[in-house]
Parts: sequence; C-alpha cells; structure tokens
Amino acid sequence: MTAVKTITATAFGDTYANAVGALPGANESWIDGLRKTSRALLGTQGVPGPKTEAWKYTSLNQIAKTPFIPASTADDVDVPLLPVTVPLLDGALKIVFVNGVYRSDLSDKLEDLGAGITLSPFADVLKSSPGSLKDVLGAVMEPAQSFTAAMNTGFMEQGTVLHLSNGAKLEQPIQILSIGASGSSPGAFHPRFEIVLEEGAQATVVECHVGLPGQAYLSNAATEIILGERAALRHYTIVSEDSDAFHLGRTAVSVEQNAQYESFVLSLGGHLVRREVQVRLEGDGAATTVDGAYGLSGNQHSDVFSEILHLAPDTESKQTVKGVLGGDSRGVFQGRIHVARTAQRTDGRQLHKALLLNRGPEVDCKPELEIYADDVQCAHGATTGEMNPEHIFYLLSRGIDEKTARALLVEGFLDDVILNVADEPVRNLILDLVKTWLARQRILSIGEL
Amino acid sequence: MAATQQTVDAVRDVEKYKYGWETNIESDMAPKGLSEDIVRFISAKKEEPEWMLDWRLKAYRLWLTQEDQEPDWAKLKYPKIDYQDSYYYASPNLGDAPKSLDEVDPKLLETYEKLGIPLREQEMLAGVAVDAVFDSVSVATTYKKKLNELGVIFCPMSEAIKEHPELVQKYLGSVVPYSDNFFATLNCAVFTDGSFVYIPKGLRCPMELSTYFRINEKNTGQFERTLIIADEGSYVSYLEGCTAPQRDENQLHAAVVELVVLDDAEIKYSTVQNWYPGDEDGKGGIYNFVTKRAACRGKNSKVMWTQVETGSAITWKYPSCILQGDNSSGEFYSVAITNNRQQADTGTKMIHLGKNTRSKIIAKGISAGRSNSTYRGLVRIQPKAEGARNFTQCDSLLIGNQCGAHTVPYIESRNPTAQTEHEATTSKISDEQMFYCQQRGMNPEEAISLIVNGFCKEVLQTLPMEFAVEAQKLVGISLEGSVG
Repeated sequence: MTAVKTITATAFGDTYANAVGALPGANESWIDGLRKTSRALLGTQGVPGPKTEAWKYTSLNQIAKTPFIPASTADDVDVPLLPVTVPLLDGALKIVFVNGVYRSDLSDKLEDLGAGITLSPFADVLKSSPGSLKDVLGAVMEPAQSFTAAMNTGFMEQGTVLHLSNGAKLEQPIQILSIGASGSSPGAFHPRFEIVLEEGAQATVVECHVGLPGQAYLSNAATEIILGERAALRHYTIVSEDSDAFHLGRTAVSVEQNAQYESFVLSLGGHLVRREVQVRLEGDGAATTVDGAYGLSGNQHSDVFSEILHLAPDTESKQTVKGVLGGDSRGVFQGRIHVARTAQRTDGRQLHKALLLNRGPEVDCKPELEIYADDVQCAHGATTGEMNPEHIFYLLSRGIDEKTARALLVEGFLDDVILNVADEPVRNLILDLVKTWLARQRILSIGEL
Repeated sequence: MAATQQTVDAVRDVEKYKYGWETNIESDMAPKGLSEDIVRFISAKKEEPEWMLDWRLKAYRLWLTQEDQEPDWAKLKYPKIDYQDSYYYASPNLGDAPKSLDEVDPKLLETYEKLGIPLREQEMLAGVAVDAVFDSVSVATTYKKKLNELGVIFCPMSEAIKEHPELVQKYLGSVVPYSDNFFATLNCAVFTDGSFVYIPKGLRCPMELSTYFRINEKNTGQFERTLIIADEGSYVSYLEGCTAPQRDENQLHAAVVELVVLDDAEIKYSTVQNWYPGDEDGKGGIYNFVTKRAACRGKNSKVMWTQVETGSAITWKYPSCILQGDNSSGEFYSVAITNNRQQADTGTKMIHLGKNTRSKIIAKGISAGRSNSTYRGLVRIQPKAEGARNFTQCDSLLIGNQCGAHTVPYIESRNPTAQTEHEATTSKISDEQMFYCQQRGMNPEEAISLIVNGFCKEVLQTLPMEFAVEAQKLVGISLEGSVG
C-alpha cells in the first residue's frame, strides 16, 4: 500500500535506535513503554504513503531514504554562539537547543519566573521527577494518531517543561529556539516541549525553528499543551529552517472550560515543512484561533495539517491560513473541523487562501467539515488564484510601477492575517520576517520603497 | 424549541415507502452468483457479437484480481457485499420483443401506472420519449419513429450493440474505461442493459429523453450502462428517474453512465433517484454505487448534471466532468436528502484540462433522523488550463441532533491564472425562520416545507419542468410529516 516499505528498515530502524542509546527516563517503565509503543507503531505502520489520507499530498520518500544519525551524536558540529540569523524577540526569555540538545550557555537563566511558574529542561524532569509528567506526557500527543507524533515520542530526549500553577501569570514571553546543524552526516532530532497552564494561568510562548546551512537535517518537534479552566495561552511558531532541511512538527492542545488558545504559525524556510496542529476543545466555552501564513519559493514544500475538534458545547474556533507560492513550490492545506454530537452551539470558521505568483507552483487544499450536531454555525472557504489584474491596474493608474504594485499586493495579502496576532512584539517580529522574505524573493517590501 | 422537536418527531415516524409493492412476472433468471459462465450467459442472452463478449471477459478477469479492493474511502458503513449471493440476470418473461405497446404484458403497464408513468398518455400528452427498463430488458420504446426521422438514435444498449456497433465500439468505455474503478469494472462485466443515445450534428433534440429504471426481481443487482453522444453543435436533455419496490434484502446497483460531448454540443442530464432506502432501522434498501462521467471533448462543449438523491440505503456517486476542450464548461447541481439510517457520500469531480474551462458546483445536503450525508468533491486544475474558473458552494442542513453532515472538498491547482473558490456552510433551520413563518399563519410542517424547498431551490430550478414537479414531491416525501 505504501510507496516505502517501513521506516524501521531504513531511516529510523534499529541502527538509529541503538545509536540513540539510553534516553532519560528509560528506567521509568511508563516512559519506556510510551517510547516503545511509539517505535513499534513506526515499525508496523511504516512510512505513510500517498494512499494514507493524511499524507496524500506530502511524500516522505526523501526522509525515508536519508540515512539520518541522531544529531546529538554528531562530533563534527560546533555552534559556539547564537547565529546572527536567528530571529530574536526583544524582552523574551530565551531557551536554546542545538540539534535538540539544551544549551545552558546560550540560554537565559530559567529561574525567578514568578510565583507558581517553573521552566525546566525536559531531560532533567524525566530524570529527577518523572512522576510530575505522568498525567501530561502523551495525554494529548497521541502517537497512534500521527506519524509525526509517533516518531517524536519514540525518540524524545530533550526539550522543556513549562508549568504554571493556578492563576499564575507569566509576564515575560518565553522564546524557545531550536537550531538545526548537520556535520558530514545528516542528523535528526526530536525535541519535546510540554506546556501546562492550570486554572486561570496566562503565558506567551514563541517557538522558533531555524537552522544552519550544510547537510540536510530533520527537525521532528512536538509541543504538547494542556490548558486548564480559564487559562490563556498565546503560542506562536516560526519555522525558518535551512533550505535543505526537513521539518515535521506537531502541536497538540487540550483546551478546558472557557480557556483560550491563540496560535499563529509562520512557515518560510525549509525544503519540506509539515506543521500539524490538533486542538481539542474539551470544555464548555473553550475558544481557539489557529491562524497561519506561509511563503514558498524554489522547490519548497509546505504542508499545513490542522484538526480542530469541538467536543463540548458553546465552543468557538477561527482559522485563517494564507500562502504565497512562487518558483516550483508546492503548498498543501488540510484542515478538518470536527463537531461532536454534544458540541451544540459550536461556531467554527475556516479559511484558506493561496496566491500563486508565477507558473510552476501547485497548491492542494482540503478543508473538511465533519459535523454531528445540529445547532451549529460552521463554514469554510478556500480560494486559489493569481493576483487580481484589476488590483494591479488600480495601483498602476495611481502612478505606482508594476513591481512595487505587486509587492504591495503580496505584502497586503499576508499582512491581512498576520495582523490577527494579538501580541504586538511578536506581530512585529513576524511582519519583519515576512518583509525580509519578500525582499529575498525580489518582491520589494513596502518599507523599502 | 417546540417546532424543532416537532420536526424531529415528524421525521421519526416516517411514512411507509410509497412505491413499495412488487409485480409478479415470471423471470428468466440466470443462476445465483458470478462467474465467467454468467458473463458468457448474459452476453449470449443478449445475442452480442464477439468483441462485446471479449470486452466483458477482460473486465471480469480484471475484477477478479481486485475482488478484495472494494473502495473504502467513502464515509459509508455497510456489511461486506457477497457478490456470489446475487442474481446477475433477470428479464421479464415476454417471449419475443413486443412490437407495440399493445403487446406489452398488461401487468407491466400496471406497474408503470402505479409509478406514475402512463406510457400511452405520455406518448400523446407529455411529449416525452420513454425507454422504460424493467429489470434488465427494455420492454417499450416510444417515439422512436419520430426521433428516427431526425436522425436521433435512442434505443436500449443491447439494441445499439447490434444495430450501431461502430458507434458503440468507438465510444463505449472511452469515458469510463473497464479498468476505471471496482464497481465500474464489475458493471462492464455484467451490465445487462441501459440506454444508448446519439444526437447527430447540429440537432437540438426537440423532446426530453427519459428512462425509468426499476428493480423488480428479488436479489437482482441492476447493472445499467448508459452512453450518450452529442455530436458537434447538438443539444439534448436526458432524464433519469428511479423508484423501486420494497424488500428486505439489500440490493446492489452499480450503474455506469458515459457522456461524450463534442464541439459546441451540450448535454443536460437530470436524475431523480428514489430507490428503496430501507426501513426506519436501516433494514433493507438499495446499495447504489454509480460511476457517472462526462467528457467535454470539444471546444465550447457543455455538460450539466442535476441530481436529486432521496433514496437508497447507501449512495456512492460522483458525476464528473473532464473539461478537455477549450472553453468547455461543467455544472453540477445536487440535492441529497438522507433520513433514518440512510448514508450518502456524493459529489463531483471537475478536471480542468483545456483553456478557459469553467465549472460550477452547487451541492445541498439535508440530513435527518440518524442519517449521514457527505459531500465529496474534487476540483483539479491542470497546468495547461489557462484562465480556468471554478466556483463551489456546499450547504448542509441538519434536522435533529442524531444525524451528521460532512464536507470533504479537494482542490488542486497547478495554474496561476486559474481561479478556484470554495465555500461551505452547515446550519439548522433557525428558530427565527420558523417563528417568522408561523406568525404568518403557517403550521410548523408548512414552514419547514417552505424553508427546505427554499434551501434546495437553486438546484431544483435547474430541473426540466416534468422533473421539477416530481422532485418537489420527493423532497416532501423524503421528509414526510415535516414537509407538506
């Protein structure tokens, strides 16, 4: 059925597992069991091929064929300083990983974050107090539901655990930086980020996935988020991997009563990038915004895969994803809104818009509604097409030259959704990154006119 | 509120199937089961030429290799079909083919009258030529002479194979090849009859062509094969309607419809499907797996599919358009109503190949009872489809809180000058709408009838007059009790 036999036979088989060696928490039977179950899933299910609905438009052939080594074992990689290309959020608390390994020398101090707030390296927690993760780890990130989750869970080693007790408010945003860099062999790493906000807690977390040029690497990140009653999390993800890199990332979120999860995913760099998100609206009145934007050029491939599950009454979800495609790139959007029988009075909105800049790119889009409750308002929309010639004409008639006109329109197209980002410093950071990207695509940005 | 509850109640005590009875006519039946011998038997019964038998056998042998590959991607749940537990050939025992209506078995004519197809009256009043298919053999063809004079060929497929082999050989399987999909392959092997239509160059067919299908014999799968060819600059409107008698065992129906549209030609294909949907508990009912596809081969060719799907326990149906010729256009209008335990997975495919090709999809799904209805559609823009345009709108209406409505569109675009738009909504009848109607003096049933008819109007009004009336009635019957 699948194009590639099994992953255990090739990329992430016994050789890989042996090279990974003993992982933190392995002496805890439940953690060990979780990893083993996940690896077994990889073995039995193999690499999903085009006949697997969730992977219909994204081929994993290249990843399956690459002889990855565990990136942390590479002895010919040295990243002594934070690369200048890394986007930094002013005023944020930095926690840095290179090839999935926590770098205390590059990170800020993880202490004194405020009452009831702890931020710890994942491996430390697994070693010293694994019990504190018992109800958290794997609670939402179910390996059986996703190849990406199974691979991460099977090999998870380092990462962070952010915990906010009842009513705690994190003033300073946290920026997680995951940097990929390969030596002579392509490396793979599987960082794991756990975020738990208890009742009424509030936090802002920015995840940045970047990389250094060189051999291909695979960043297989997973973020598991549990939001208690009335908790509010702003979670922003920026993927700007190296142009040869692979990125398979997944975010799984559980949102309790009246809690709010606001997220935005910006995807600009990487050879193949797939961002999965699953938001489970578990409690009455839970709400979420799951926006995103992507820009593609050359032969880049980007896949936005989203599942929003309305499982309780009076829940609300909003999603807008916009993409700009140039070169011979391929953009994929697969979004599903599921409304369970009990989730009456659900409000679900979803929109995907793709702008094709030239001849060559392909966009594949599958917005899906699955509805089992009657008292709902659900809608989705999807459009694809090029720039409206009338819009260009309008600008030309105002004395603006064509190149500038096109730049204005592309930037306006993306800014439209970026302006939904509630956190101002993050919004500005994203706008800047998009400007830089546009400039690199030889699409001038408004600021440079 | 109360009105919604009433709707739910009304939908719950559903009517007895209106067309549920059975006519006893001795059938000439082939033994149960499917084998190469059965394929040969059907071919021999139909007095088919060698090439036809070869084609059937080729399909049958391919089907054997895929026996375990029945498609499972649709949102449908049904017990595994035992293909050996069905009859593949049954024809009303009429002796030689009748030369006129007077020779037709009166019992058969009675059946049609119960169905509301007065053959004789139709000939005079309605101006509709009916090629009625009773089980598998065509028993009466009217208006043939008139159509003949114009050069229109409208006859049973079995006759076309004998009389017009050059047309059949050229076009049969050219849109839906024998290897197309599991059910189409099965159809190729064992199809018994269907309609064949050829409209000559430049002719605007002056009357609507119509076929009524009807499953009658117990346990006979119906495998119809329809082929319509509209030659350059011609136009035809074709109507297809089905009702079936009540029975308990599930019946398999796997039809194939092929449309070939040449330069500047147009085909309008309308369907009202009302096969037996099974009882309240989902017992019985027809399994309807249909492959319908139109090839817009020429410049400016046009196809319009309209379907009103109210019957069948299982509906698996995706009337499609291959928009090959420049400026060709495809339209798909659909109303799918499911009630009780019915399941429908239906939609369309629009494949844009030529320049400036256009497609429009309007799909309305209404789910009630414990039913599930899914819209599944594909819009694909190939790199050479300059300036292609697609508009898709899918709306679902849920009546009661035990049903489901799903939308699964696929949009694939590989040309920047093409524009695709898709929108879908899901909702229920709002309390405000009900209140407005009721304070104007309507009872809740009338109100729901009005609202549901309004919801479907965009689709129903694309049907030809004769069908529009029947369709409106069907919308009512399908939600009987709640709709007037």
